[in-house]
Amino acid sequence: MEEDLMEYAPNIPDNVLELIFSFLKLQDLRNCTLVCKSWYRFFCDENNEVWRAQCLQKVPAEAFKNDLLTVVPTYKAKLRAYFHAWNPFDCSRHVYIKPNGFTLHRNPVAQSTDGSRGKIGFKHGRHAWEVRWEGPLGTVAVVGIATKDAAIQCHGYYALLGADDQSWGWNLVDNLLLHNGDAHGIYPLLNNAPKYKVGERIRVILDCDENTLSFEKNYEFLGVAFTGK
Amino acid sequence: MPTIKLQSSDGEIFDTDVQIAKCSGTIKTMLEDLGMDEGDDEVVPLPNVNSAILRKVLQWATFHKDDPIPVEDDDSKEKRTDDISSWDADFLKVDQGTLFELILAANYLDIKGLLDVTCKTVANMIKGKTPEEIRKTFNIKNDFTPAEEEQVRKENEWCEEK
Repeated sequence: MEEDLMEYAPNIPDNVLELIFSFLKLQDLRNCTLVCKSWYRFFCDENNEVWRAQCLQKVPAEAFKNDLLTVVPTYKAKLRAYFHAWNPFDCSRHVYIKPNGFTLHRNPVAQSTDGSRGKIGFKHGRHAWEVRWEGPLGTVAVVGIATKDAAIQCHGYYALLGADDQSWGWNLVDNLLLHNGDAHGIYPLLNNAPKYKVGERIRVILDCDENTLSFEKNYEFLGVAFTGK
Repeated sequence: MPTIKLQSSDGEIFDTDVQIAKCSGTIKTMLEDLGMDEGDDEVVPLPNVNSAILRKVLQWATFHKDDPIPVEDDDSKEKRTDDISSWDADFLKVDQGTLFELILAANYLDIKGLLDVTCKTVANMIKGKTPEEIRKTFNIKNDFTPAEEEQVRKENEWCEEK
């Protein structure tokens, strides 16, 4: 009997696997990817019905109403993006995360600098995400990374990201790199590099294995901005 | 009541109500395509289903013959697995080999209700288990190298329900 069983589970047709997996929650699906190569292979199709259903169940319908996710190619990737997007419980009190889950709105409060972190932090691996300003930059507009200990709100107009050793940022207003309260030079390293224009796509690239932080603007790589220990 | 003859892979003939046999999409299509008339003495061969499993399938189909046509699932809602009827739960108290044979038969015969409830049963056997516990439950061999397993684990680390 034991040997008979061996033949079943890994050899279930894909349409049946799809039905079985459609009854499971995301954590269970994650555990299923780790069971064997045959099941793992099923989940490599990031546009299959199981990922599609998970994506539609969890990502707010508002996120599909404009071009926000069109650059994210698969249902699994859209779901992953949503799981990493702005954290409504880890942002300044002047920040409002719109129902689409991806758009941060800063209430126009005078003399306040406001930030937000994503929902999931990174310790290893290479990660990239896009940031796009839809309105004017204001006095300071810094994009980058922070640990969970970095402040997300302060009084005045101040480059909060890069203000201490817990964060690293690129101020799009004056093209300066900021860390530990200091300017770490102009970025990108060009004479008269063009300033950020509203609507341009900034991609933040964090490599936790090489300990580097880099940026792209409109898919043009701008070089390594920070190298860590 | 009109009947047809179904023949299992091991040659056993099952005289079956046409209405019950037609809960199988495969048989229904076969009868329609072949223009088989009720009362014909023809035999429908089912080379993928043995007599033990066919008997179970027909037992299930007989009990469920008056079920309404199942509605299409709504993708935007999480599917339930705690709604298996007590008759079905008893019916599916079988060894795992039989359960998987039933799944493969329901898939081949295209019997949505039976496929749904058997797959739901398997899903319930997976729920809440670690990968190792799932492997043990279904006697699946771990064919990942430790490095590959670590890679897959990292890839899907974020898959935690909020």
